[in-house]
Amino acid sequence: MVDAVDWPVEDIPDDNHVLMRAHRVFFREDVLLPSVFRPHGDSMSVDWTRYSTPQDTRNRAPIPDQNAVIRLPVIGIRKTPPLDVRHTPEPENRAHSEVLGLPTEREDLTEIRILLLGFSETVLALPPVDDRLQPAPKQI
Amino acid sequence: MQEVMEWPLLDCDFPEELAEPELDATNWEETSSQFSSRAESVAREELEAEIERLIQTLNLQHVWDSEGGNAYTEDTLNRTIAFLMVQSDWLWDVYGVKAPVPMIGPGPNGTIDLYWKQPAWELLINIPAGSSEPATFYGHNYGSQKIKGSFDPDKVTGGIIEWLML
Repeated sequence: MVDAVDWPVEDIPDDNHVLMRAHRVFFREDVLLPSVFRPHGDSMSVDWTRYSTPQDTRNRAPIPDQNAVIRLPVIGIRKTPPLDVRHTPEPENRAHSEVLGLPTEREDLTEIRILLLGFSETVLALPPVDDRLQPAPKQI
Repeated sequence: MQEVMEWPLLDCDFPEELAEPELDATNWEETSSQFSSRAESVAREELEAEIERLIQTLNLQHVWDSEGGNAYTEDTLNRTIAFLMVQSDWLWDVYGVKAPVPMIGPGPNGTIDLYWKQPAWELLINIPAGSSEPATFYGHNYGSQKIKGSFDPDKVTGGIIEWLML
């Protein structure tokens, strides 16, 4: 058993980026839907690019092959008040960070989700659908 | 928060039967047949396909929403379908304009998102999980013009209709 590591909390510079998984259901063809932004309370989990590659972020998904990875500029988030980004490392994920300040008022949240979408960029596309996962045709 | 322009309501009376729709959308087959009677007024196949895709997505919620916390009800789905039908039919009946079909997605906290991404504008409408809450919207033309607010999704809303006609 390895002891859990308490990673130090660091300041995330404005010119850095954060990564987020985007499940297949949040895409129409190549178009990312604003539905991908799903706050828990007033925050949303992301990974800081200093400690995570897009592939690392995808691999943390329960089913990695069902996920793309999007990237958001920290400066873009911070210039969208009242949002902020903080490093909140977890023992098993040093990159873990949070977008904070997501509004709980629905009108404002609807606006914020479109603004976040505006500067999101897909950096790891969805893997092609694997036909081998489909049910085998019945034998006649 | 960015500054948001006031969006004028259309200067016309809404037909009463559309402003207070008596649509029973508790069953998708029923809804589909009601919809069929006005098939020329909307991009029916596209809209049906989008709704079917949403139903499949919601049925697979346990697969994609690994972080949990969201539950989608049939009532929210039915109100979404009813909203789309009322707006589409009204737009056709009054203006002869075919409504653009939104991309429909599972929104946060049991809500449903209707998202239009057009070359000249983008609009997000969020249908609430609770029937007593208003729908919320935000849209912009990629420039200085923005709309933001709330409305009763059971009624035709001039600002939204006008936006869909751009």
